[in-house]
Amino acid sequence: MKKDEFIFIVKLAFKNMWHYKRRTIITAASIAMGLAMFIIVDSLLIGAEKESENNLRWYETADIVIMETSYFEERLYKDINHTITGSAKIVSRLQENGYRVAPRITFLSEMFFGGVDFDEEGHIATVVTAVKPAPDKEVFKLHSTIVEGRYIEQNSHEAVIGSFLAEDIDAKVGSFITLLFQGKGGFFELIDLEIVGITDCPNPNVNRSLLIVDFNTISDYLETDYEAAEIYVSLSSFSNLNREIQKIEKILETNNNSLKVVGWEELSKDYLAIAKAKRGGSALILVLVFIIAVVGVSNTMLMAIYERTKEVAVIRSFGANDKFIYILFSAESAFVGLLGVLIGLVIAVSANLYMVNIGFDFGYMMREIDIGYRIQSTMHGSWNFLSMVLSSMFCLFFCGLFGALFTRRALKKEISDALRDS
Amino acid sequence: MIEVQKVVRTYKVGLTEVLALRELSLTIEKGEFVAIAGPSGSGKTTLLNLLGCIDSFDGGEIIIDGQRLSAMDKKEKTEFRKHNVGFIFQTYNLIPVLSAYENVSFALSILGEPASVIKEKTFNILEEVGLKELENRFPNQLSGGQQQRIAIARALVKNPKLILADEPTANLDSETGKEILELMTQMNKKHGTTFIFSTHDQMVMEYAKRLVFLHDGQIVNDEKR
Repeated sequence: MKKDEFIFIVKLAFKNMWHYKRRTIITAASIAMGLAMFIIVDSLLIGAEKESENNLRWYETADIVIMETSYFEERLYKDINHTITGSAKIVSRLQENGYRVAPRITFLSEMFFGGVDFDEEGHIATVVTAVKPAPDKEVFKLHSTIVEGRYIEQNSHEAVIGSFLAEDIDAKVGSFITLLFQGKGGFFELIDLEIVGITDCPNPNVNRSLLIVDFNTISDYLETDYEAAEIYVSLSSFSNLNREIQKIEKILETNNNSLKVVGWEELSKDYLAIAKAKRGGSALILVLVFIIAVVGVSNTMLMAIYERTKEVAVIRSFGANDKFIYILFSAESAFVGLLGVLIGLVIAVSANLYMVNIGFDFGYMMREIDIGYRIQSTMHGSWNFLSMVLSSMFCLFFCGLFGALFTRRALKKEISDALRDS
Repeated sequence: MIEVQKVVRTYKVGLTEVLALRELSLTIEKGEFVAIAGPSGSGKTTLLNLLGCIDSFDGGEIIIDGQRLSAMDKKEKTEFRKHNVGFIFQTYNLIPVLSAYENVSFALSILGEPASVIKEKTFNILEEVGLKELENRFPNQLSGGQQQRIAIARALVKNPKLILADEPTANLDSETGKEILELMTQMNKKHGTTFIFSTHDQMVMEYAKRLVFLHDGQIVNDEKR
């Protein structure tokens, strides 16, 4: 095919596209909506996953955790009989190697509330997290999410409570609570604590259950000899998680073989499984969105070529070969597809700008239900340029393909039949 | 020279087979101006379609300038049409998105002619059909007669051996029809191109130099004038 002939075909395809405006607009709109929907949903899902991962690391798991192997295996029981022997030395060693480290001890407790500070009396099972305020601030971001009051101080009888939990028991800053728990060896102990702060962090799981107390104070009651049960590590570079785990294992190997060093992913298996399932479900929805758009597009393209069967026959009667006709209609379809893709990208990028910078507030839902994502209120989008490029190319490819497929059907007809029937 | 030798063409209409052409034989010399006349269903359009290689026949042979149409495959037929045949349709069939100029030059673009040649030939033929000044108009901005003139220019611009016109004046009033026939006659004389057109209009038949009457797929009269 000569250059002039090709240019002629492209011009003709372009003119046809503008001539059949209504069809072009309907088809391009279908493509645009399908593509925009895909990019927007994809952006929201990726955004939710990224944000959930950050919220997990910043408020629940940090990047790496060190525990006694026996504690790790039954970590949900929070058995303080399996604290890390020599945890202070491990902390120091890791700090010497440039890691930000936060020792913690978590234990199960019954929290009692009532008296003048509360409207009602009652008690609730709680997981209590004892932290050393200064190093904890280096690893977690909880201190920056205090919405009322302040963070706990070292060696104090103070507590910080999650906002949802505070609402549930009607706790306020200045209210006193009592914790009943078992110390090392199984004895029972009671402690009165003043709520000095309420945290409202972006992780709803934390807000639902968090109760933070001072490590040193609680160690005296637990009789755990100031040993930590969990040592949390924050990394400066998040990308080399496995390498860092190996590095820490190497540092600790000479120290204690019974230790388990795990990444945040290991601790967040429940979330990751949910995220994976959601991704699968969402992918299905996205495929359905695409199929609907594709069916719409194919239908209008089919109509476009059928209503112009006579035109195809006339062009053929003048000696245009099949290749000419294929290129003509595929180019026309691709132009319509390109228009749809451009409109879709404009819509998607505009929507994504809003989603990335402002986001959608789902706070009213997150308070009552757990949808698996560690997002408290605002769901943000995320830029996924590869997905944008691939979905756009997919649209263009299918438009061209549909154009070619339907042209093939038109070309199967004898010219004389096409001229007579149309 | 065109030789039609005992050509048979049957169509299937539902379960019934209809014989459109029954062993029809006809010879047309180069440069003739031939009208194929006859009532509806007599086989006029079928004959033109076969001559133009846009339909295939079931028996017999058609030889155009020594080329046997029965031996041609789809590609060869396309090539044959491209270089040798020009069509004029009853409903003009101009491409709506192209201007008068582009509709004509389109036939040359398919031939792969260089842009300068296309321009020159297109302007020349538009001048010949008297529509040079309307080159930028689109089909919907032209009258029926003007559209048919453009269609004639489109058919002639590539200088084919054969022009096939299926009832070229059927959609026109008698005055415009006469103008179109005069133009066709003039082009036939000037270019020496063979014109074969179908009609059942008496006025159109009068313009023909040769009148072939068909009835039920057979020639019932062949009159040279």
